[in-house]
Amino acid sequence: MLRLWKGFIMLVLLLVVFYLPNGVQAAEDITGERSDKQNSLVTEKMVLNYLFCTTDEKLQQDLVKLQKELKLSNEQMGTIKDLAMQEGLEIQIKQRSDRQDYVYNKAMTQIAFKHDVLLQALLGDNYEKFIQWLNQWWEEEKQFRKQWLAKHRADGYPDTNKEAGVRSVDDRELVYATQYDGNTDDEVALPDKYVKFANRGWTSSIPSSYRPYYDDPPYTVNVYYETSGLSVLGISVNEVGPWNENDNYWDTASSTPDRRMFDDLDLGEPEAEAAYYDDYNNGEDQFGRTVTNPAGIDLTPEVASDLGIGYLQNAWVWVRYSDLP
Amino acid sequence: MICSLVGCNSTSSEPSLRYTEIPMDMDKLDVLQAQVDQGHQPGNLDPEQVSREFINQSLQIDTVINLELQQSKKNIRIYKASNDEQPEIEIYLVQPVRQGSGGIWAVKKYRRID
Repeated sequence: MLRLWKGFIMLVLLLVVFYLPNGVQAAEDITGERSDKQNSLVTEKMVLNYLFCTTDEKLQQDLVKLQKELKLSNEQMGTIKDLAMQEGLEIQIKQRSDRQDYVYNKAMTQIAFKHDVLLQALLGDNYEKFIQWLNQWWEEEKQFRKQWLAKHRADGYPDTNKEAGVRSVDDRELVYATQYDGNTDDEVALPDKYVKFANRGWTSSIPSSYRPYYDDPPYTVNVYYETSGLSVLGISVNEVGPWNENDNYWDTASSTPDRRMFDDLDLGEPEAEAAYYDDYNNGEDQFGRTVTNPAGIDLTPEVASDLGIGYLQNAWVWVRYSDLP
Repeated sequence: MICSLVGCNSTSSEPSLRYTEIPMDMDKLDVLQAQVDQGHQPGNLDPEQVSREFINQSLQIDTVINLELQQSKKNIRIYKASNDEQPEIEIYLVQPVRQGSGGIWAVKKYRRID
């Protein structure tokens, strides 16, 4: 019976926060407290989506640790995951506005704040401990992930030599993949708009100085998911993103063509990754938007599924870029 | 993509100076804005790319098109699209959900001009 009541109260809170016209203000009234408890990891980095929706061995272990240490019920963990999924599901921003100063970062903070308020309502007295755990975990995760990436990138893809047609271990990079609704089922997005333009035949939108490098479409990549052992080969780069449009991170400052932006980063390191983990470029993308995940490639759900990655799950994948300019 | 978002009207191939309005599905545009806010498809922040998508997907014109910016106001852009085979097309774009650098662009109307 008690469990039923708890469920009912949570449902009411969810309805109040998400569906009342001024959900944020309503949520403030419910909790009676706001700014002092707001947490930047939840409201800016949106780490809940990263922690709960990334298919990764270490992060799965972290979740088990979180549940155990904070004595969270399966229900609570499930509800937090739902919240995290909603971050990934791109909650609709209902507040349409003509105001000139209504910009991206404010809108995102508003969405994330709703999540923070819901977390407070869900966890009650445990909220402070949760945030404390999250802060500690994030510091540790950043360090771990940087070392993990460095090691894996240095080692290369382990099955490289077993596959026919692959030239060398250096021709692919390990990047974080998210999912998006594509124009077609079988495509990916990379943060170089000229690759998209070339593949779409929009040659006149490519500056003449770069046109010679992008004159041999179609440009494709191979994507490999180490955990499942599955791969998708020769997939067309039909869209631009995630986050940036001029971050051809498979090129360097001195290569031909050159890396057009952020050329002080390592080869194979997307700007979004550096922004997310290291606050590179103030943690923002080329448009000045706060980066809320470290993604370097976007997959359609169909491509993700072919790789064995669940719907709206994020994962680290290997990408072979050697066919790209 | 854009066609499915805005529910494009079919249009006569007769040259005309009258604009053809594109009905905007605000629910879908809201979702698209939110997706772009999460880092996906940043091309929607670029009115030129949105114009090209519209020409390709909605008007079904695949031949190479030159785009020229005709007018740029706060949240309005007007492009002129041309190639050797088609009449010139004027494309009128707005930021339907949010104004400023993080707002997506969408085609509000277009017309063929001679």
